[in-house]
Amino acid sequence: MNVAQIETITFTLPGLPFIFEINPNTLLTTWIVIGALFLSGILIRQISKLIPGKLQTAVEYILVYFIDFCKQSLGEDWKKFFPLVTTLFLFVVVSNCICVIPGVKSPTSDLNTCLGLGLMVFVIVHISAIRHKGLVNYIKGYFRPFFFFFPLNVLGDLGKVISHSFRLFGNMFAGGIIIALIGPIAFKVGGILAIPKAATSPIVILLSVIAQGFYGIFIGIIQAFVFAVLALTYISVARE
Amino acid sequence: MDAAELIKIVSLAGAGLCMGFGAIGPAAGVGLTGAEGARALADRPNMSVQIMRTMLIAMAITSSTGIYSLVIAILLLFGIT
Repeated sequence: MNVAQIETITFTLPGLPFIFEINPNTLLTTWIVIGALFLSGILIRQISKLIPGKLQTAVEYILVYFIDFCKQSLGEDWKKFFPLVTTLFLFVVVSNCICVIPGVKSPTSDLNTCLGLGLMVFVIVHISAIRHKGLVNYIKGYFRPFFFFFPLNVLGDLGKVISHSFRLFGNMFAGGIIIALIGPIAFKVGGILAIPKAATSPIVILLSVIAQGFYGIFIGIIQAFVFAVLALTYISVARE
Repeated sequence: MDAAELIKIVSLAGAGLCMGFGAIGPAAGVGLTGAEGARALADRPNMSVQIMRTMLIAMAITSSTGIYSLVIAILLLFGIT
């Protein structure tokens, strides 16, 4: 059924004690998403005029919304982090919405993509905090409000990575499972009620299309927005 | 029934219970946060960006316990085999 579903490739490198595993499905869809974003960026650059058309207005609306968000969170330094946050949003939103194409599994329903993005945000948050506050103030921040809060602060920072990446992964993975379950449930119910060809009836197909739209587009856009805004918030909180 | 089979059954049931009970608290918390956010938005529509930001942070922190239970459920399902 799933056209783009390929088995994972495992291999070992001589001299290293690890087993490397590559998921070609995720890799392929990720590169497709990157290529689509790149091409649409070039396209919108080409067609942009002084008096904007419909497409340009939509793109400018998204960008201005994120500029406002970054200005309110970061103040004067918004130019440093605006490209990162907007790119995170655009990448995640396209990877979430790509699952409405039949047979394509969105790369964010693979934990590796989400954990990679989460770890990237984690590194950026702490490096920007060190560069903004200085190393001494950064370490002092872990002993606030009292010195014995240190383990709690460290655990809280580690928990941020887990919740940040697992939120995106959990939502997209659960949506995929629910979409995949509609067919088998219709088959079982049709078997109990003795309806012939229940799994391929128009109602079930319409239902699965609606579910795919809901979980792919609606939840996908919301989760992408939450992901980007949370990254921005972690950055701005760590710099204070 | 040998021990490995028992462990499998118990971990499957535990994963379901973990997700089911772990979703109660975050759901109530996120609902309360959303309700208060909507109330604040109705009071002051011109501060929508700040209200939205604060609401999203609060929702994220509230729902993280639910995500921890998801992690535990995934560990029970796939980690113990």
